Amino acid sequence: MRETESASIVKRLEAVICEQWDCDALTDYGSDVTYKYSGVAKRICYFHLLFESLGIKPGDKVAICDKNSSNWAIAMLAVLTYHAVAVPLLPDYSKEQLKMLCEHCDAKFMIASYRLANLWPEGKCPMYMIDIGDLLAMSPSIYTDEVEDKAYALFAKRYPNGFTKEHVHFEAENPDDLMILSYTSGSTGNPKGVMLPWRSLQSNMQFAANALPCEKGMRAFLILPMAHMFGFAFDFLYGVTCGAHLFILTKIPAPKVILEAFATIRPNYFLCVPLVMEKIINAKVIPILKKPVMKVLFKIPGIHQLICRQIRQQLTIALGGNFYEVIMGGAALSKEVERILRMVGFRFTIGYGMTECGPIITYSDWKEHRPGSCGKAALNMEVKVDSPDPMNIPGEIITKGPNMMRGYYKNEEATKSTIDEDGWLHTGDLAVVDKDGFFFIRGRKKNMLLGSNGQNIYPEEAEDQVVSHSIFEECVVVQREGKLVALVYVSDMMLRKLGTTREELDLEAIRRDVNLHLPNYCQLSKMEQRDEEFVKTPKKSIRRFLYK
Amino acid sequence: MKVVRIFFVTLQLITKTQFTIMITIKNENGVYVASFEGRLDAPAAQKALDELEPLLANADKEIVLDCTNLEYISSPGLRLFLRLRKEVANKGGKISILNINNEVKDVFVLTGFDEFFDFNNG
Repeated sequence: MRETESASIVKRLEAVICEQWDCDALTDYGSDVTYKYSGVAKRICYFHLLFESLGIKPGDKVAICDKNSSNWAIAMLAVLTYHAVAVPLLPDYSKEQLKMLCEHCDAKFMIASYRLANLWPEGKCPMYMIDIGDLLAMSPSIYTDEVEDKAYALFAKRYPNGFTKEHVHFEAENPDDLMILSYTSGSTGNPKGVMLPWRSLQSNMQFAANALPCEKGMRAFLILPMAHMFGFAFDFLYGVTCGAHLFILTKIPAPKVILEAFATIRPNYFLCVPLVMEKIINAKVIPILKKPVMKVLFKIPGIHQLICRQIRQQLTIALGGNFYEVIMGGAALSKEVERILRMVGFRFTIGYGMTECGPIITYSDWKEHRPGSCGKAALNMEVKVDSPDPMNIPGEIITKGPNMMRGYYKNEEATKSTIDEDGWLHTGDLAVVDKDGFFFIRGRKKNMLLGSNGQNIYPEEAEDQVVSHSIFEECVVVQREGKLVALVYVSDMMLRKLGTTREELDLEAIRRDVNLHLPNYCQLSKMEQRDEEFVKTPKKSIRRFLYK
Repeated sequence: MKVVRIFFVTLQLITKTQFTIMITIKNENGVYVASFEGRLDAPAAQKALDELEPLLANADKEIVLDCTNLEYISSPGLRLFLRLRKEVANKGGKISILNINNEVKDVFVLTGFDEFFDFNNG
């Protein structure tokens, strides 16, 4: 086998499809439809014939825009195995933004919800569109029939006796070719198209193979958006190249739905954003810990450990009881929730990455995970803190390695300001590192505020404390005339649950209470309540630059 | 055998007048049999949706799609069949395809929809 083939994601997919031909591959959780690997292969074949009929060539861009589903996964696999460049777009973008992004990336083909059929005025759609709901042509026309006629004829010619696993053959990818064009949602401005070569995902898959279980037929439960690199790489691509059965959540990941799904799926691994675990802990664990009797029991020697063990077991069972560890990423975990998880000895870890690295940069196994840390440099990656004293003075995390992007599509200026002349990618995140190489993130460089005494203030730290120690669910800390002001939001649902109203909240008392948990240089001088939630990017980060 | 309703769907191709499909629906002892004759292409499928309304209304019964004389199907036609299948699944009925020719069957296989239907030869 050639060297390019041994690491090839596409060859791996080919092998898995053949080996797992009769095994379940994709299920939309809660639906009655499950695709076997054979069914996935047939649909991939259909896409390839359509691409050929339309004259689409390897390297052309294909946009996939919708929420998670089995059909999304099939469309993505079809694009990748054709060596076209996949452009996953989150459906949360407005129609205007989607149109702009499709035009920016020069897409030749689009797979999307039928709701986007009229994205372009009648007759002006620059590309062939497939409805992701059924993977059939979007709008009926003579043109549709012509393209399909060609595809049907190709099928009859190539597979006169039907399509079998012997017909599954994909060419190995070239590691330097462009694989994905992923638009970052821009919490600070306009979206940028991150160009990820195959090499980046090959390296990420190598990392995953060392960190996650890999057994044929293992079960994974996908709740992260697959259009986001964290979910794409480790939930979707890794799962499918392992021959796993992927259960895909197509609804909003409410704790009740998730917990029901865990009980039936019993996944072998689970990835999520911290918010999911925070909601589960808030719903399942904190009410137990807050009982007055617990405070007494916790003081009795030996009982503390027993209670922690009991909580750990219940939490593990609630998540299906079959997973190696829960991996969180994409945002910081609340310090309070992390404290509880560690106290009960729950198997979890927190990684760090960014779209520009496809995504992994740092990670550590749950057994060596350190509180407040996001792990050590991931496999194949060189990571350091750009600071005169990296252990004590926070500096920007910079990284180098095969996971790195090529640059931003059609944006040389942004590329140059992110990747320096020595090839280091500047993440924009500030951190310190300990003697063993564990990184501790302090905040975003561009969010950092300068205190009146010259002290660096990381608003994310204060925001975490506000959310952990108050009823507020969202917070942005801003600086006004040298003083810190917390802009806060609590939902109507939470207010109803607590039997109160926004007007009844004593902001001054809450502010004083939160300040008890904050260092002197980070004290809040005021709290300002909002009656609507903060504006967010499609990846659900708050658009901070809108708030002053 | 009682004929409940007979449809003669005349459809115009964009390229000028041509009959592309004829759909006949019969109730044979409680089993709804829809017979397709001609080509179920994009323009035909748009019109055929209205004509298949009685099947959607009786999706809790057994439905047979007789494709003995169906010459061609493209994605809008497939979508029509899928819509029927979905309605039948929701309402607890039963649906099958009768006497499909090899070329049309290939389209079901190629798009992966062969897994969603029972195919019978009468």
